Amino acid sequence: MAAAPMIKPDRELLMRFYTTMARIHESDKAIQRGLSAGELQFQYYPAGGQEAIPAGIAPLLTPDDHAVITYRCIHDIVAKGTPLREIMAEMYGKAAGTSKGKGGPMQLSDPHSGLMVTTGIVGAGLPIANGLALASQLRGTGHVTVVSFGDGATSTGAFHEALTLASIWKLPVIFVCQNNQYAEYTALAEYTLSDNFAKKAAAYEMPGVRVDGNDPAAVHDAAKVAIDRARRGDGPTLIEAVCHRLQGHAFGSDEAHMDKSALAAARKSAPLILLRARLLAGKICTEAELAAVDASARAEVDDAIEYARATPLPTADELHDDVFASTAHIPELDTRAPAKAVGTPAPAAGTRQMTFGAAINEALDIALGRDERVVLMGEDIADPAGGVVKTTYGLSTKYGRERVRPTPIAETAIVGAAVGAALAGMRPVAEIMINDFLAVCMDQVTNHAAKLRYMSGGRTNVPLTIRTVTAGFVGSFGAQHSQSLEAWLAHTPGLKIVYPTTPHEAKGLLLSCIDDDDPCIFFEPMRCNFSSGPVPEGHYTIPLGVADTKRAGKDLTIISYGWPLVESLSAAEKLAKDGIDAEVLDLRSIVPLDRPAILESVGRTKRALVVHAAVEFAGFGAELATLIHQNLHGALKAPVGRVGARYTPVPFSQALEGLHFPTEARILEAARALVR
Amino acid sequence: MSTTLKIPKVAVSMQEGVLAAWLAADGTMVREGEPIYTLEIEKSTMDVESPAAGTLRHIGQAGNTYKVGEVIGQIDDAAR
Ligand SMILES: Cc1ncc(C[n+]2csc(CCOP(=O)(O)OP(=O)(O)O)c2C)c(N)n1
Repeated sequence: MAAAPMIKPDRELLMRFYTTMARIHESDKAIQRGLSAGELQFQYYPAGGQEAIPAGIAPLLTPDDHAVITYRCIHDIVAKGTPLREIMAEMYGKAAGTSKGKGGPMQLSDPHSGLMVTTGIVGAGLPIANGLALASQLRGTGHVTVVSFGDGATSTGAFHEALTLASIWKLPVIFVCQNNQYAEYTALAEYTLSDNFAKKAAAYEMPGVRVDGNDPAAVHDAAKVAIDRARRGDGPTLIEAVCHRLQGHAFGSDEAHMDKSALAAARKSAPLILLRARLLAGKICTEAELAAVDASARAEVDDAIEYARATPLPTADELHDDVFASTAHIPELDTRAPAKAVGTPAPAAGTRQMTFGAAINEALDIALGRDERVVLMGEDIADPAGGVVKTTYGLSTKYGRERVRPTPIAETAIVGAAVGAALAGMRPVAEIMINDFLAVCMDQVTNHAAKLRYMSGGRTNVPLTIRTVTAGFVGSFGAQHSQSLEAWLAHTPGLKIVYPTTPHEAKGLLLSCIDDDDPCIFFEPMRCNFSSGPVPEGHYTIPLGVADTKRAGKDLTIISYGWPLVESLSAAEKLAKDGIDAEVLDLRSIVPLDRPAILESVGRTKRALVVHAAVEFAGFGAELATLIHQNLHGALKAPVGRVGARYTPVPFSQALEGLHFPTEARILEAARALVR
Repeated sequence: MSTTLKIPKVAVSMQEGVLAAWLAADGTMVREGEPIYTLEIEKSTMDVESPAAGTLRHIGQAGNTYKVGEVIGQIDDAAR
């Protein structure tokens, strides 16, 4: 396994390993002391037995090289160089912590030291590391990203997707599997027949190296080859560092699932004990020198703990900070008075006509042209295909495949790469072909894109855009290609959700999303894709969170977005013939939400009907109905009505599909019932 | 300075635990890392290590059930 070190490590390097490992060990012990005393109360995943791995890698990295790590974090954080005071303050949930007390040990970031993500989701770091590496590759900085994960993470789909993408894109990323023999309460042999994870690398055509993770010098040597290779532009490496977890999964958790004799042996030959013995046996240093290192590590940790104890807790105003760049976009904090929808002036007469799809293509073209940070990624998006509905046609030819990047069919890898690139300051636009496919990458969207700003206490942010088609009611696309899943997304704080209907707005809203400092999900209704409208030339934006009155009226407000807005407008014309004057309000985005416009319109018409393509039950309409009832209860002439899709999967047969989705007929019926 | 001993949270779901037995007597000197009492929760027990060195003062009674965070003892500081 562990090849003899190629380079005889010098004294300075060995002492550096020892110092880092001593600092890790003291930090880990101090946290466990706090937990033992009941002073700290959280689930803590100790790092005993794994100290040598990051200690071996650390001297090869600068703060501009990125790290992505897991909940079993303290060894990786300390080695990367995050100040101990900030780490401990975070453990104590204090405002001076790395994440202002909002991340905790499982979810902290420290971009100053290059620690970009800590994730509590097994396997999720790998796809994000790809994105950070992509940013370095595109900028030609020569920086690398090192992502650590456990042996258990090799069973996840994210592992497979990430290695697939890293390999085809030759990303400067080093995958470090810290094989501590256990995944939670399950021993390795019980969850896999593999006895060697490094060899999995061969399947991805990348080098796979297995090293003794107890020996920082061995890890260092393997990492040096991998990092040099990545810096040269020769692509990723998978390193398996074999070690042994020296305690149960978490602080206080039982060890019944662990092999007692192996555990006892591993404790006797713990990495720090081995290194100490080696340093003394080789006369590299004296006992007194090591004792001085230990004492100084202990003093540094004690100081950090004292600091953490003394420093204040976060104040209540921190609660809503760092959800978005601005608290103004948080629905529950919006206390603005009702105000008429500001909307957007319609394009001047004679403005050229183009389809919704062409308008999106033009927005992407403009964004790529004016901002070097913009990079597109998704399945089939490059020419000659140019996207499954040709939305991105021509862009890879114009801007090259570096910036318009076709991907494998790996949604988790796509969104993960976009998250990572966004963390590094790029403006990625990822395409998830059909929004139903968000289901296979939802972890990256809702646990990472949405939350990283908050979990990092605002130290990082994720300015990415995900474009995704809603293919409902275009005819027989069936249950898995036709949904409208905006309510899933709206339920996770941290995502902006944009849903245009016209070509003019599609272009302006998409350009706003790309400029936005927060993650935006941009829905493209396929039913609108081929309809035309006037679209102004050049760059312009339409702000998010500003509704538009598509038809003024006085008897009823129909609130909608996406393709059902079109049916709502035609219904309104029919209603007019019956003497019912309906106002049609297009929300255009549901987060941020134009609360003042909704309340002003319904406050005037005193009747509201919400129409959306999503299933009515637990759909976004429920939120709108509540908003209206709570604010306008006394003024309403009827309870808020809702027309959404029926509570069924989307049926294939067009005979049934027409019964599932909201139609003009259903809108008319509901509107008449309200006004009657 | 002294260190307060509170019932630790050793599992996500834990609300309370039994101070099954003191492993170090009241008034004795304990070392940091030395097991000082046995905590029983649900089906498992754990020997809790002393978070500090010093003189152990019992406050909780062996056999009693305590909520997470309840004070069961104290370690009066001795120079480390
Ligand atoms: C997606 C996901 N599934 C399950 C868990 C619960 N869980 C936390 S740690 C862990 C074990 C992971 O084992 P491994 O990858 O070997 O890392 P280690 O804990 O040994 O460092 C599990 C299953 C989780 N956090 N995320």
